[in-house]
Amino acid sequence: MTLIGWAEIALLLALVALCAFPLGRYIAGVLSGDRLLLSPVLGPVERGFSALAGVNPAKGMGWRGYATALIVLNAAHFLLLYGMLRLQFYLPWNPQGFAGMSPRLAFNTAMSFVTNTNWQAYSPETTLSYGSQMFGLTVHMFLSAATGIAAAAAVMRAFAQGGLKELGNFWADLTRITLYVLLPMAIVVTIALIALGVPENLSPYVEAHTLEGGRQLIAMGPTAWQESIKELGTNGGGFFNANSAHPFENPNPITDLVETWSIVVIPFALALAFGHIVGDRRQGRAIFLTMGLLLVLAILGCYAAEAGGNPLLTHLGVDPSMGNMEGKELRFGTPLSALFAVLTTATSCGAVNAMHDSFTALGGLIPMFLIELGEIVPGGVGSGLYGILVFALLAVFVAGLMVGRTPEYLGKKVQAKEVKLAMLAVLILPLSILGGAALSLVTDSGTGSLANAGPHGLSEMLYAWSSATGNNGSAFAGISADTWLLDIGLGVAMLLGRFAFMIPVLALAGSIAAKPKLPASAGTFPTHGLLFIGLLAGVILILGGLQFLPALSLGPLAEHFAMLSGQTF
Amino acid sequence: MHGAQEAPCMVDLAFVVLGTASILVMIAYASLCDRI
Repeated sequence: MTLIGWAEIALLLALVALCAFPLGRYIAGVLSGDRLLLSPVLGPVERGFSALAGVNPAKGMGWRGYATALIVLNAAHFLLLYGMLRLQFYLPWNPQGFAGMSPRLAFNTAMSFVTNTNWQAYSPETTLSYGSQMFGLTVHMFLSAATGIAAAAAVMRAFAQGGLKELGNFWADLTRITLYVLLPMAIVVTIALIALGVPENLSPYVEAHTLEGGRQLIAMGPTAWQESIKELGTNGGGFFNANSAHPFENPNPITDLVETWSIVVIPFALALAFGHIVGDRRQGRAIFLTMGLLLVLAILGCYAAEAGGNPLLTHLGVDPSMGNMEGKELRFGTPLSALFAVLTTATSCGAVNAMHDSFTALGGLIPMFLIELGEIVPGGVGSGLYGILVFALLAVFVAGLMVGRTPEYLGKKVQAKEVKLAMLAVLILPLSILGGAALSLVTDSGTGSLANAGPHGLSEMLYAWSSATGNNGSAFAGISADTWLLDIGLGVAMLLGRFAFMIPVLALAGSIAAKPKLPASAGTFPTHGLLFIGLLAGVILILGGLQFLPALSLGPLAEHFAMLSGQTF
Repeated sequence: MHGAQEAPCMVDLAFVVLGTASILVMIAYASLCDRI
């Protein structure tokens, strides 16, 4: 580990912390329907969309109505995207003349982008037209991100007042989040990326002649625009197959700083927006600090593992001073690669600037475990906040059990129904991840997809199911994902990880909203202090450990000990 | 780079039904959650 490496990491964290506070206040204003600086420009657009869609934004929805609108919209968009991917040959902006995707790959891809996963079982530059990338994928990057923030908005409002029957209007939330948060931020980041060297054009691919006399086709395209929402919406779907390791997507350490900032700033800001919306900023700061604490621990662990390198390679005479550089870009080195890997899996982003499959066993374990924890430190846009609030309810429930009092969170009693719904959401993750990985590993199709044997092969399959269920989308690589089993299986896992988690959480919000808000008393467990932060972090780690440690022991942990005894996979 | 464009077929119908139905079934799941 180097001083420069730590300075790069500290700079990013400082910039995120600095921007998250004003952004959190701004997002709270957006979700509360306040008049904002951009209202004179965007207000007429917002009202125009509502009028066009016949929506009365002032009309509130109960949790069932909110969830139904969300589901129906996403089902319609699945159909739309599937059609676009299959029929791209007949659609405009296809200078390379790409044929439509195969049906099973179109199913997997449509499910992937509707659920904010952005798992890519295809190579974009040899499969997708500019039209499909811009109007198919990029549009759904905005939509899925706005859907996640809208669900989080409904959950936040549930804690704000007592006796609420309505959680807001889904259509109004979706419109305001897109217009006032995602679009302006994406425009600013796009311009910054273009200025820093990321291409944005509709030119056909360029044919270059190499020094050796060969011919090379260099892919072009509207990269910067997709790149910005890819990070800001914690989507992760790369314009190119190598994602943010590609020099056009992420040309230098400054663009890397912009991209890593974009990945985490909205999730952290949402934690602070929560404090504003519930009328107690200390509550938002407690969630923010819990997320930050676990994130910093993960960065420490991953950077230490990658900087330590691989002792087997050192024995062969490889200079260990730069750490484990396999699968990493020289322009980023180990610190920025480890940082990116942690941030992209601590959120539901899934973009990569290095190949996670090439990380050391422990360096790869940390990103995988972060996904399996539910991506809540700070998590995906919206999904991270409502995910950690589920754990906050479980934390106060555990505290209540210990002292023998009915647990409360923000003046709302947490009773049997809420705990059941919280567990229903949380248990979806091990069911899909462990069940899916186990199913794949006992079939010839599943094991035939693996490029590596032993514990590393197990890690590859476990990571694929974790990534799909966690709506992350990054790949451990070393796995051929375009098979019938994985296209369909992972497609269903994405759906479960998104909606089978979100629906119980919205039901939980509906139940919490209807409860009266009790005033704090001498016996109320304070949920803004260090004790609560420690308890919440402990519950997250213990629950995650109990669920996934056995599988991780057989994968990356076994691989680490095998490496120490001289065996590699 | 030009590929052969397949015509839409019955497999498409199967995937359209699978994808849409599996998302819409979440509305029924919401009803179940309401009964807890």
